[in-house]
Amino acid sequence: MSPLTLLSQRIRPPLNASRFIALGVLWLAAGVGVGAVAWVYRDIIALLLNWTPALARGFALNILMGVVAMLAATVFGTLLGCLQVSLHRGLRQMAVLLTQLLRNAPWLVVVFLVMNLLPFEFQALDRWWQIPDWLKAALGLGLAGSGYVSEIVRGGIRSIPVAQWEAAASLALPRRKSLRLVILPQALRSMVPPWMSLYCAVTMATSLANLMGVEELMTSLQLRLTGQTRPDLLLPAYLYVFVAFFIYIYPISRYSRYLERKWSLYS
Amino acid sequence: MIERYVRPWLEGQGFHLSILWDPTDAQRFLLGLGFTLGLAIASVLLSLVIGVLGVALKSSPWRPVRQAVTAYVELFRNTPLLAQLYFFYFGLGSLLPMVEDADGHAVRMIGNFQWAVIVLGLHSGAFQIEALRGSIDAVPRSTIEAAQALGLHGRKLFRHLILPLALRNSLPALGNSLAQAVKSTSVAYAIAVPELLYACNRIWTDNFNVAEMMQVLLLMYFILLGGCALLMSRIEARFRLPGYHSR
Repeated sequence: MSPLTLLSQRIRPPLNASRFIALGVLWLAAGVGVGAVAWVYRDIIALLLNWTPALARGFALNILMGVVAMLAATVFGTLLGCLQVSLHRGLRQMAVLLTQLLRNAPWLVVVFLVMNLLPFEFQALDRWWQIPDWLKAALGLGLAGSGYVSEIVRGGIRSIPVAQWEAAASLALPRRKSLRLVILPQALRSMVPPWMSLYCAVTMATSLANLMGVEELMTSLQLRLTGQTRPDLLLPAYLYVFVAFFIYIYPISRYSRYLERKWSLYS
Repeated sequence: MIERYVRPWLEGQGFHLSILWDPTDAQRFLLGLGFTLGLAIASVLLSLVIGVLGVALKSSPWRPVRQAVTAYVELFRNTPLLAQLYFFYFGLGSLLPMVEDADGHAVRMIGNFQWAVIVLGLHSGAFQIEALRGSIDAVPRSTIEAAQALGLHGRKLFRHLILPLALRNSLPALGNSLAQAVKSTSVAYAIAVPELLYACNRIWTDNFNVAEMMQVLLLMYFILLGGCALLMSRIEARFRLPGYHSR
């Protein structure tokens, strides 16, 4: 029981007939209210539904960017996180410094940095390859996220008792192998929930690519909005973006919190 | 002096740091820094007010009130900050009436800076509620029981025991949210608030010194965040109770 509940202890009354009827009336009123709003805004809703297939493609790009960014962040961040617990002093300090720098830079600034830093195209295998803008933005987000992954990995490794390192050493495993075969598999469990919430944060941050002109959900919505010149459309349209992200993100963040609670009880 | 010694040397190194010698750029840059600081401080203050209010409402005896707070927290935690900014600035802002400013120009009732403060405050307020609640929950149960055994209850228990300990517990989370607030100010770039990123963007498009300004920009954020960390560790040391460790 939390100290807050001490201040507001209250016993819920049992569900009797009058309460049941009151609840029913409330739900009915809510239903009528929603119906009325939908009727008043029916043309806007129809328009937004009409746009949905195109907007869904935009949102798919958001998700793709989120996945690519998270892959990059995981690969680079895990490397950085393992270097943070390295025995080599120089490597460790460099990894710690880089992690802190990455964590303390605003995501938008890192995305700007990568967008401006990466070349427009590069030459490999005897031909020129263009780097699409969405990939650049995703890599920028991946770089920004890798600082967080690095901290997650370091925290996960630190959460494993030193006895496990010693046990691995007594099996004659070298340090790198004991990290890979003994420590990391055990640390995985405490790393998954924060990793999932980082995925949520990265996916939400893909909307920043809107500012770079990448045609993701918000950009494709704005392109359609400028074609309409209807100020009354703005509020429902941006509400639509809210709902789209919320429907995708909320279950993942709920599940990550559930895992965190569940696994913290037994560890 | 800068014009005579620093500029030729830096330019000799290929480092066109126009904010050091161009007064317009210097002014833009400093104004941007001021806007970033102002945004961060104002939004943190707003988020603290929201956090305290939210925690109070979350312990309300009425279920709909508690559910409304939960809905607010979940909505603002699980949608992108940029979408929130656009929703408020373009969506709600376009519905507000125009008012006349001092010069007689018609302007929006709430300007872009105010919207940025409101949205950043609402966004971090949602995180603040969770953090503050967590810090109240982290007050040890045995300490509360000890206070109850001494006859404290209700308001007195809250004011003399739970609140002072909970505030200390909340300091790390507060430092975190301060750092987060400074970083989030860069998103105000989207609605043309002339903060640091916006100012630097203007400067590098005018002077073609993207690489230099990028480094300056990152350095500024590191200094700001380092300052926040230093400030918070000072405050934590100042309020540390000997022998008391939160969970």
